[in-house]
Order: sequence, then C-alpha cells, then structure tokens
Amino acid sequence: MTTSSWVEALRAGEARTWRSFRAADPAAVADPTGQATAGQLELVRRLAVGDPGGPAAVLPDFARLADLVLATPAAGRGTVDAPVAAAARAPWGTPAVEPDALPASELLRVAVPVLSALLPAAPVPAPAPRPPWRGRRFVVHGAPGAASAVADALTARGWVHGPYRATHLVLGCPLDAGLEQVWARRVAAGSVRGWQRTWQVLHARDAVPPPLATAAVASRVLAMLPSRRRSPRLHVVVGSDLTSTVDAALTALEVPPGSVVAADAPAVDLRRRLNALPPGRALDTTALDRTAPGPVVPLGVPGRHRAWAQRRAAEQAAALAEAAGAGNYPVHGDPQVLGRLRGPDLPTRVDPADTLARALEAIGAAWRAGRAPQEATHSTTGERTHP
Amino acid sequence: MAQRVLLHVGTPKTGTSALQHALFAHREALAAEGVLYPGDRFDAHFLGALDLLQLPWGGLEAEAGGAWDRLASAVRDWPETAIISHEILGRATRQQAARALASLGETRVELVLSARDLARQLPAEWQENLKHRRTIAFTDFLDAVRDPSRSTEIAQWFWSVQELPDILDRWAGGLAPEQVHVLTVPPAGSPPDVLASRFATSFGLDPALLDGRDRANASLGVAESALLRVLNERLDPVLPNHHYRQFVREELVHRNLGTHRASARLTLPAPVHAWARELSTAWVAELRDRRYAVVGDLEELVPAADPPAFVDPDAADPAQVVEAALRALTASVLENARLRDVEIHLHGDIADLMGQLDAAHSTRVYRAKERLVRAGEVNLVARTGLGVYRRLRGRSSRST
Repeated sequence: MTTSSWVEALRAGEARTWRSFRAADPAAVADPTGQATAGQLELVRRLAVGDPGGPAAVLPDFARLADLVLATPAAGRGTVDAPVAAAARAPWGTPAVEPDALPASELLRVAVPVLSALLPAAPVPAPAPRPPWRGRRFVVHGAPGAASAVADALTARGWVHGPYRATHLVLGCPLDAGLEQVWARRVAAGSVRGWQRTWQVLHARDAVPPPLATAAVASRVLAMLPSRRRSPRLHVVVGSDLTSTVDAALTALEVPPGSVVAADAPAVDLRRRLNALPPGRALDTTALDRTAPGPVVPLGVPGRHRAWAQRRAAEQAAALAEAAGAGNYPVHGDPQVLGRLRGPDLPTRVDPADTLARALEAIGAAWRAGRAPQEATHSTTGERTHP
Repeated sequence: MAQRVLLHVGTPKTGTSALQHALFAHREALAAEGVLYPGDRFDAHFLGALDLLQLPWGGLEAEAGGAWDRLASAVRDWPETAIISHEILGRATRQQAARALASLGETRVELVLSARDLARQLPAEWQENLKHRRTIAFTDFLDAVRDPSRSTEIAQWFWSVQELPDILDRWAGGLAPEQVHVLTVPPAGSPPDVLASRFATSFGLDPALLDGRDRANASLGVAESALLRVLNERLDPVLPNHHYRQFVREELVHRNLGTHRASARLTLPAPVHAWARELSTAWVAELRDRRYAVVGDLEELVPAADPPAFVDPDAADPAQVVEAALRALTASVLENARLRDVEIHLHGDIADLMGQLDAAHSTRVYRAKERLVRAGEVNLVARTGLGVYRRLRGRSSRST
C-alpha cells in the first residue's frame, strides 16, 4: 500500500491522517512518483475534517475538490514539494514530514490559491445612482470602519451623502481600535502588510494615520465650514470601539442604531494573503465576511510598540479634550476614551490557525455555492484555468 | 511553434544578470539569427517566473499577472529557437515545472542549469539576502542553511534554488539526459569571457552577443556587507521597497560599494568549507551518473581542498566599515545633489507652465465662469442652474 491508497481514501472523504493510515498498515510507504505534496494532501484531509456543515460527503463532488487541491501548487515562500514521511527519499530535496504536523502557515500556502481559484469574480461596479435632491446631507470623517457603517446607516434612513449644507461627523476611536479599521481598509484596497508590520511602520515614522488624529480632523473640517454654520453642523463622536462609536454617532443624530459588522482579523489576514498572489482576475471576497463565526476577538498592540502607542493615544485624547473645553464643537462621549488602549493580554498577531480555519470554511462555502464545478478546471499537470 | 526552447532555470549567482542583460540588449540581433528572447521589458522573464511560482516579491508581483503565459505564447508563436532565462525558476515545484513545460506546447525543450561551487554560492546567497533587506548575521545564515530540518525560510529558499540534483529532479524528470545542459562557472580568477563563452556554447550562439559584463552584479566585501546589514536594520521599517531598490540596492550597492570593493572577499569558515566540499562531491557524482550534457567541468563545482582565508563579516574591522560608510555617504550626498538639481529644473518647468495657464485663464469669460462655479458652492439656485447648464453642454474637461 502506498500514498496512492491514502490519496484515494482522502478523495472519498476519509479524514484519516497519514500517520494513522500507516499504523493500520505498517507496510504502507510513500509513493516516490506521486506529485502531491504533504501540504496538498493534508489540506484535503482538513477539508474533510474541518467542514462545519458535516462530514466531507456533504460537500458536493468532494473527489473533484480534492483533485483541485492536489493540482494547486503552494504559493509564496516556504518548502518546495515536501514529501510525506516514510518516503523512500533521495539524499537531497525537502525533508519528509508528517502531513498532520505541518504548521498552519504551510497549509495556507495551498489553501489561499485554491480559494483564489474558487472565489467568484468581483462584480462590475454599478454606476452610482444620482443622489436625491432632497434629504439631510452628511459627510463622515475619521475611523474608516465606523465611518462606513455610519454612512450606510444614514443612507438607509434617507440621508444624502454630500457636502452642501451637510452635517459633518468626525468619529474617533482609541489608536488600537482605529488602526484595526485602517488596517482592514488598506487590506481591502490591496495591501499585503500584516498587523505587526503595520505597527512597526507607524512607530518608526512616529505618525498616527491621518483619519485617527481626531482633533486635527475636526479642526480641518471646522475651518472649511462657513463660520455662522459651524457649531450645529459639526459633531465629534468618540467611542471605545467600532460598535460603540457607530451607536454613539447615530444616537447623536437621533437615528436608530443598526447592526454593525466589526473587522474580523482572520478574515482580514486571509484577504491579505490573497492580495499577495500575483494578480489575476478581481475576486469577490464578500464570502469571507459571511463565514465569520462567533464573537470577534480584537487584536492588541504588539508589546514593543505599546509605550509609543499609549503616548500617542494620550496626546490624541488631550488634544480633543482641549478642543471640547474651548467649545469649538460638540463632542459626544468622553474625549479621554481616545487614550484608553485595549488590555495587554490580547493577541498581538493573527494566529495562522485561525486564518486557516477561515480559509477552509471559505473554500467549503465557495465549493458549495456551485460556482467551481462549472467554472474551474484543472489539468493533472497543475495548470490552472481561471474561472 | 518554436523548434527549440532553451529554458535556463538557474542557479542564482552564476552570471545570470549579465547574461540576461546581454540577451535583452541584443534581442534584435538575436531575432535576425532566428533566436527569440521574448519580452518587451528587461524584467519580463523575472515577472514570468513570479507569476509561474506565485511568489510575492516586495510588491513587484503586482505587475506579474499573466506574465508567464505571455512569455509562453511568444515562444509558441516563434518559428525557430527561443530562450527563457531566470534564475529563480529553479525554485519551481514539480507541478509548476510541469505547467511551464506544458505551456510551451510541443516544442523541444533544452533545459539549462548554470552552477557554481558552494563555497562561493553560500557567501553570495547571504549577500543576496542582505541586498533584499534581510539583517541575518552570516553565522546564523550558515547555521540555518546547514540545519537538516530546513525549517527556516532562509534555508528553504537557499536549497530550493541551489540544490542541483533536486532542481533537476523537479525540472528534468521527463527530459532525456541530452536535453539537460549543466553549465559550470569557471573558478575564481578565470578570464571573464570564459563564462560567456560557455553560455554561448550551451545556447548555440555567437559569444559576442552574450557579453554583458557591464551589468554583472556587484560583489560586496566583508566590510561592505557588514555595513549593509546595519543599514538594513535602520531602514527596514521606514523605507518603502521601491525606494530601497533604487537608493540602496542600485545606487549604493551596485553602483558604489560593489564596484570598489576595499575589504576582504567573503569566504567560508574552514569547517563549513569542508562540509560544502563533501556535499558538492556527492552532487557531482550524482550529476555525472545522470549523463547530462556538461559545458565546462563538473569538478569545478567542488570547492578547493584548501579553504581561502576567512574574515568574519559578523565581526568586521570597524575602521573598514567606517571607510565603507563614508563611501556610501559620499555617494548618497552626490546623488541627493543630482536629484535636487533635477527638482529645481522641474520646478522651473512647472512655473513656466503655470504662467501659460494663468495667461489662458485671465480672460473675462473665464473669470465669469469661475465666479458662477464658486457661487454654486453656496447658492442652491446657482448650483441648480450650473447643473442644468452642464447637462445641456455635456461633460468636457476643458470647460468649467
């Protein structure tokens, strides 16, 4: 018995590890002619194991999904063609590994290009409808995640986005909560930079992202407004996180709060890894958000940047408190909130295992959505035809 | 359909930059002789490799989408001989190599692998890591590479592009031995045209068309390498990749520090040299057994029995590092001054153009239009009227 038998078992939806497969048949050896790598085989097994909807057989045509995975080379840097343990290997080449012992980061190297092949193409953006003539106008500034959520809620209530006689909202969050939103926004726009690197660059430049400098943003907006209309048309709203900021902003405008989807770090990390692939077609990644399970665990400030972040956050809080004290504009919420970072016990990096879990769910969801069977075809040589 | 494709897949640090520069510079002369070097930009083959290997590369991968298919298409459409060359292709997985070969159609593929002895490749790869912003010490690099588990990214990359038998297993498994050409880099001190001559023999070309010595990659000495490592630590979080490529890799390293090496050549500590010699000997025996077509001599891949003197770059002479730093600083100041002159010149151009624009905008009609547009920002009637006017007139960037 060889890995070929294990491959067939995996294609049939079995989730036994290569280790247990060998234990059941001590004569089992790795097939040196097989092209499938330990990472590809283990990803197939994880898809069988990890399918939240039930056993692998629930996924339609699982054998074909397995073939797709086995024909997709790993992307990015890492091992090259790692063989499974017990292979009759040459004295050179990547050392053999137990597939179930591979780190999540190695499995993601296969999962991400598989997901890229399965995700549908991004829809062609429809032309923006002409804004209505009538309606209260608004412009939202500040933390980008909160700003989008507030804009969506206001638009749904008939408000019109535009500067003419608009009510301006400046939304502020503590630096860490705000940076999480900035990071998610940048990744959505194509960035490949991770959470820790984002902090490193910020710290080295000793600069707060412009949207998060709440008092400075408010000053700029104030300077743009005609003097007689300033106070009633500019509101600064602060909250400790995205949800509380959005709720406070809508409450300030007497608009009923709606549901808010916070940035989910594993989904952002998965998007970031998709961004790192050489560009093919534009992908519709909205499915990544839909698969988000359970509560969102926020990310913390990496330890070596914490003191700097605390200092800069305190400066932001002091600047806003001073402006509020001067009565330049109404501030909804306590300006000192801007200086309160999250606790030091939070994770300061996205665990690749969480990102892998998200990728497995997304692959299953995309496969179930039925797009791939018609649109993705793969040859045995690993050639990928983009849907 | 090309009759023959010469597919050069590595290895790095074997004169590949000079070769590719010469091929690109002489591509019209080559075409006249029936040899295609595809691509309309110098790095087309690099982008093709990034695309094929699905590799991120400091943002350059954003330009790589579809690049391999474009190369393959050009090769398929060419009636005679074509050449594809990039050293990172050696890193391809079996499936990626199979995809690449399949994409070339029914063309006869001749695989070319240029190789150099490990005693020179190890320091050169460390130096290449430094030129790509890494800060790893030489000792740590050697430890990582020699670790049998190959658990670090450094080791995985090194072996993926330098382990000759494995590269050929991945690329040449389905090719006859006579379709595989192993080209050895001559020993240090050999005349510079020997390597070009060997490439020419491999490719069946006139050696004059492969003279790219002016583009040969710079080789840093011990002190220059130590300086670059420290500089990387300082610049890493603050200098974006595109600036690093221009100001550090190109300006400082390639055009300055590498062209006037003032310190000792990088070599291996004696125990590592002995290990490299033993490993290379095993590789050479294996390659000889495979009966590939060899250009040069496989024995050139075995490091000399006596190791050259070793100067530790992790403990470089401070005076030599300061000297290298002063040369780097001088080059930076001069480049800064040159760019400042360019900036002043451009400001002059802008001022001139602004003057012309102001003259064009000084008419009464234009000023009236401007007043109307400004009024539209605060007056709803004016804004509505302007909107109606614009819809009737249609959009034009030349009108207000």
